[in-house]
Amino acid sequence: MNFRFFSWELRHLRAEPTFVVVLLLLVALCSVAISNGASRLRAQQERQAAALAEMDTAAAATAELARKLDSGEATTPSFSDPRTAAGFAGRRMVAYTVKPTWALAALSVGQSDLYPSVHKLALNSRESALTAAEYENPQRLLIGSFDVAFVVIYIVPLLLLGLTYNLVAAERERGTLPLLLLQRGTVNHVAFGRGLFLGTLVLLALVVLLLAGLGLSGVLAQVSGAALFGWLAAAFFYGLFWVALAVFVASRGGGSATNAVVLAGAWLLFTIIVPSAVSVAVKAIYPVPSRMAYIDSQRVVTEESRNRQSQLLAAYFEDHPELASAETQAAVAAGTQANPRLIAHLGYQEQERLLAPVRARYTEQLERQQGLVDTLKFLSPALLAQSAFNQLSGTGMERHRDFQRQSSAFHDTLRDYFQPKIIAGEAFYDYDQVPRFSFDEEAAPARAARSATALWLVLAIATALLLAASLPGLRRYTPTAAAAEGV
Amino acid sequence: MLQIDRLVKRFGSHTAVNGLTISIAPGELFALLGPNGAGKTTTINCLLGFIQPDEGQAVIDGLSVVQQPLETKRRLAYIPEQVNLYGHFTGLENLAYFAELGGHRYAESRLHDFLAEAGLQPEAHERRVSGYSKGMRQKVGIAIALAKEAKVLLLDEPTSGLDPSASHEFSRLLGRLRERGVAILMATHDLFRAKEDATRVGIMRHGSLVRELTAAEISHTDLEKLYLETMRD
Repeated sequence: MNFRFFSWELRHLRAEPTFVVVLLLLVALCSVAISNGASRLRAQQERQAAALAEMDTAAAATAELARKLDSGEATTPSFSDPRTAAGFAGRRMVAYTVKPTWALAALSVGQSDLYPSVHKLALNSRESALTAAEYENPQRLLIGSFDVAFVVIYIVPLLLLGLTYNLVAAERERGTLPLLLLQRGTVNHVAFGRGLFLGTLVLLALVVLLLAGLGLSGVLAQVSGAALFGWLAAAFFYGLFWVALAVFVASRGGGSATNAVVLAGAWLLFTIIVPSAVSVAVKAIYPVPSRMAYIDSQRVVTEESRNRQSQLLAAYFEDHPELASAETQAAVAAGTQANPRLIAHLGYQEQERLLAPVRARYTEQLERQQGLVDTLKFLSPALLAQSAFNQLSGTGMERHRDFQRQSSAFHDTLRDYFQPKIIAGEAFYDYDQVPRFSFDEEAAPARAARSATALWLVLAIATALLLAASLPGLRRYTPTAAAAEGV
Repeated sequence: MLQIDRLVKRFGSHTAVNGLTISIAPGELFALLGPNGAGKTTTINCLLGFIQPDEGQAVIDGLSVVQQPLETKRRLAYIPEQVNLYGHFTGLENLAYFAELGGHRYAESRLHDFLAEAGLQPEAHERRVSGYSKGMRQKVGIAIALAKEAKVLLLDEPTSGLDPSASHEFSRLLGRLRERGVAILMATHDLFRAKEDATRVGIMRHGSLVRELTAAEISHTDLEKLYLETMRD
């Protein structure tokens, strides 16, 4: 294998319309996919920037309103008076948690079309921090996004197999194999040389197209070099796996038609059947409670906590007798209304306590599902690649769970900050001091690196094994069917 | 140059080549005659390394075909009944391609010389092979053998389907190769060409060499009669 060999292979390719068709398809598909991905990325980044800007604007507007209220230039009902902690936190405060979208999300949409990167928080409900959703075309959600990861995982293997399914069989069927073998020596040279040449050519074209597409769409400048290298290397190894599979099938000595059917079957198995089976198995083994059941529990819990207001208040004052005045104690004893802010707080706490096991069950099942997927993904290179692409692009489920956990924790922080002030009925002017959310990315890049490394290792080992397993078959390969039969 | 020693090749219970022994010196053309299924092509496939013999050995230029397959292939050229080339390449490109794969890189003028020496008309050199006749493809095959500077040439029914003048021209080319010291083994049904071109003739039947004639014997023998008698025995 040398440069001259490759130059002759290029001349062969020029005569093959298939290669030109493959390249044109690749250009068209990558263009559409990158354009889709870049516009989605822009939309998400704009949404996140708008959320951050809205927080700043709201804080400034609130400060201005407080000034006007103080000077008598404006009036407002007491429940929305921003000069009280209750009025500000309950009515005026704008708080978002934002998961910054990585630029590589332009290549792999992953779960980002299902799970939003911006949560608007309300002080008295944790739900928006856990289950927020964005408006999305349901048809698009149903069929999934057409992104570069889809092109690489599903279409590039088909293009590669279309070019390499008859690596040696075509020479045998054309009758040129005997002459070729006499010059080259072994079928290994033909299968490995041509397979790796074609594979490398298509995959390099893919890499160049992606770089050009990212450059033209303005995404390249935002991308981390290491992550981009990891992504492209993952795509390259994934493509090489399919070429190695084609070499292995070629080594079995079948004709072009047989090879095409076997490789199409392998594609179907690895990209459709195994991932679908894994999805079905995971949902069957670790079913997640339905959303309806969760909403039902929430209603029951809310009702229950409302019915137990007096009990809760009595228990609270038992723990905090210094906060209970004689009037309050009398009101509690009589079952009449006491401090409504305190009651709301106690109701919230009770709901949280009762809902915690329901949420935990949901989260645990999701984590078990993810654990099983992490194990079973090694059954399919497509699953492995999808997982690595999503993690390298920051659109994986784990990063979103990090975001949900951190959003939920931030909700607690906000409550801890405001609740004592609200119960005590304090005045509030510290609009600039309200805690702000910052997403901690510590785990995601390390996880992405691990996932990419696992993909490279597994695919490199699988590719090497397939190529090694091809050798005995290629050694036995007969250049004509007649030679094998002794005719 | 080419020694075949008690070569045996079996396919299941069928013995295709049964203890064949032949020796061909440089400049000799050994014509291997025999009916279909006699084992001629299987012998050639063993020599080419396309299939492995079960017993015996074949040596080309002192190298074992089984133990040193790559080295022996470098010394071999092969022209089958139907020379298959890349139709999308010209004759010149096919020659350049196969010569380079064999480790020989020639200037274009030298490649033209090989094609001319093989008898291909100059105007055909740069035409696509898809438009070539069978005879023209045979000539490119000869040019590839010339460019390879092979020491042994194996021919399998090379004149089958060629018109008389093309067949005659092919014989002339074989003569030139013999003059260069190339040892030639030709499996053929063409008794006329065998008598005209061969320095020795062997008749195979059921995988064995049943008759062998020297150059002197060939000229005094009615080859067709001998062949038919051998087949009847």
